Amino acid sequence: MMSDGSLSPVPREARPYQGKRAGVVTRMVAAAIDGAVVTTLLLAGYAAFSITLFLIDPRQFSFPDVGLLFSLTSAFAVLVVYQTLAWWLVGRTYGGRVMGLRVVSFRGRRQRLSGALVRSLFCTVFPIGLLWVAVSRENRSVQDMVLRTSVIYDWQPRAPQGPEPSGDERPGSGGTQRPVSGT
Amino acid sequence: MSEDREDIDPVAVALAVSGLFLGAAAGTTRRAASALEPVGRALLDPSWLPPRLNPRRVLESLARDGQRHRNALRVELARGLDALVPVVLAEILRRAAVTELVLRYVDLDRVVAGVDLDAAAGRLDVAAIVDQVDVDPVVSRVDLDAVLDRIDMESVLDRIDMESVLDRIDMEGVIERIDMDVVLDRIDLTRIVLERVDLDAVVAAILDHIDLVGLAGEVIEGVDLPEIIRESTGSMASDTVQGARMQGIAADEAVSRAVDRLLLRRRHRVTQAPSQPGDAEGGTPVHTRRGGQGE
Repeated sequence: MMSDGSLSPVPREARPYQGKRAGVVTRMVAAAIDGAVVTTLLLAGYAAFSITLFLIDPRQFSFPDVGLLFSLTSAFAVLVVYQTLAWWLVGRTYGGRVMGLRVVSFRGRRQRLSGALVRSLFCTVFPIGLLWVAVSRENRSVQDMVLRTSVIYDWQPRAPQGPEPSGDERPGSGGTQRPVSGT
Repeated sequence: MSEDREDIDPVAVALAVSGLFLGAAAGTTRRAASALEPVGRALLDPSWLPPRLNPRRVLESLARDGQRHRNALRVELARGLDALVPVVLAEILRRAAVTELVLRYVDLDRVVAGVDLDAAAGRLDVAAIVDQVDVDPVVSRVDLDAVLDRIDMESVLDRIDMESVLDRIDMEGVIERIDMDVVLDRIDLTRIVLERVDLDAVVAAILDHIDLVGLAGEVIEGVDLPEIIRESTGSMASDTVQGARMQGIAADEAVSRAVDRLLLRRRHRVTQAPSQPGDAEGGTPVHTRRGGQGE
């Protein structure tokens, strides 16, 4: 079924959901995948650091003991940077790509760097806000409501056009459909 | 001399005189021979001469010699004539225009009228003659172009009743005897079509009869183009990933319904996100169809 006459690589059964806000399960799965990605990055960094130490002084080598605080800080930083870059550059993290999700602004466009950074910080600091998706009548997390963003089903393999134009945001100037405020 | 008196031809007179003399001599000779026959017989067969000197035998011997000489002379004469006659005849014929003489002195019409041509033709075995004729060299020596140049085709065609000719032709039989494959093999149909056919008009006429848009739609529906695009756009669109995504969507909806039921909500959720401006500017379209979830 061709909904709008354009050719789409999206399977027919998934086309009705394209552009709609995603539910809590899909977003949590995507978040879990992102967590795995960040964990892998941290482990890789730790392994690289250990190998470097071993190469410097093999005889005195022992696995470095990084404290809990450093670990959490590192994880926080890596997660923030990873999400910021992903949402800014392509609109989705690896988890979002696997699950077919995309983060868009209230205009339906990719976020700017600042917006992506703020959202990334918010999500990392307050991850439990994701659960509000299950309750929200608009499938929005706490961060989405605050930042007026949406996480939509978007199975299109390529990234759409560029991010939010810089400058003052002009609500209503873009998009044919406004975000629906809470009821 | 009077007017009606004939001139005396001396030659005729001489002939008549000699004829009188000859007649008289012949009569005299015959009478003398009959009178002298007993004398001659007695002289030829005298009984008083020995047989060796018998005059008859002597005469017979002489006659045989004479006969021998005559035969020899005849042979020699024939040989001489064989050598002489062709030369003499050729010289005579060369000097005498025989054709002219024949044309002048022979009444050819009468000669031909006296010939029974039908009977002559009836006696000719034409088939045997034709069999003996090697037509190929004859034909090869004929300058057909020159012959054709001299033929007034217009007048020939005017004299032909084409309708009756065509009526006599068994067109069905002719067509059946034509091997169309061979004919087509010998024709450069592609070149003929390219040179003689107005391809633009043909294509335009064909296109007039074809609903190209509808046809394209049927083709696209038939070939599952989206599947081809998915296969060509990366591993992230594999069946496994698509299955996970669809299961995620189903789980999302299940959770949403459960929560809505718990919260005693009656209205459906509003999940339509803002569409992306510039969809028509080359960006990948996002499907924004309002599904069953919309209010």
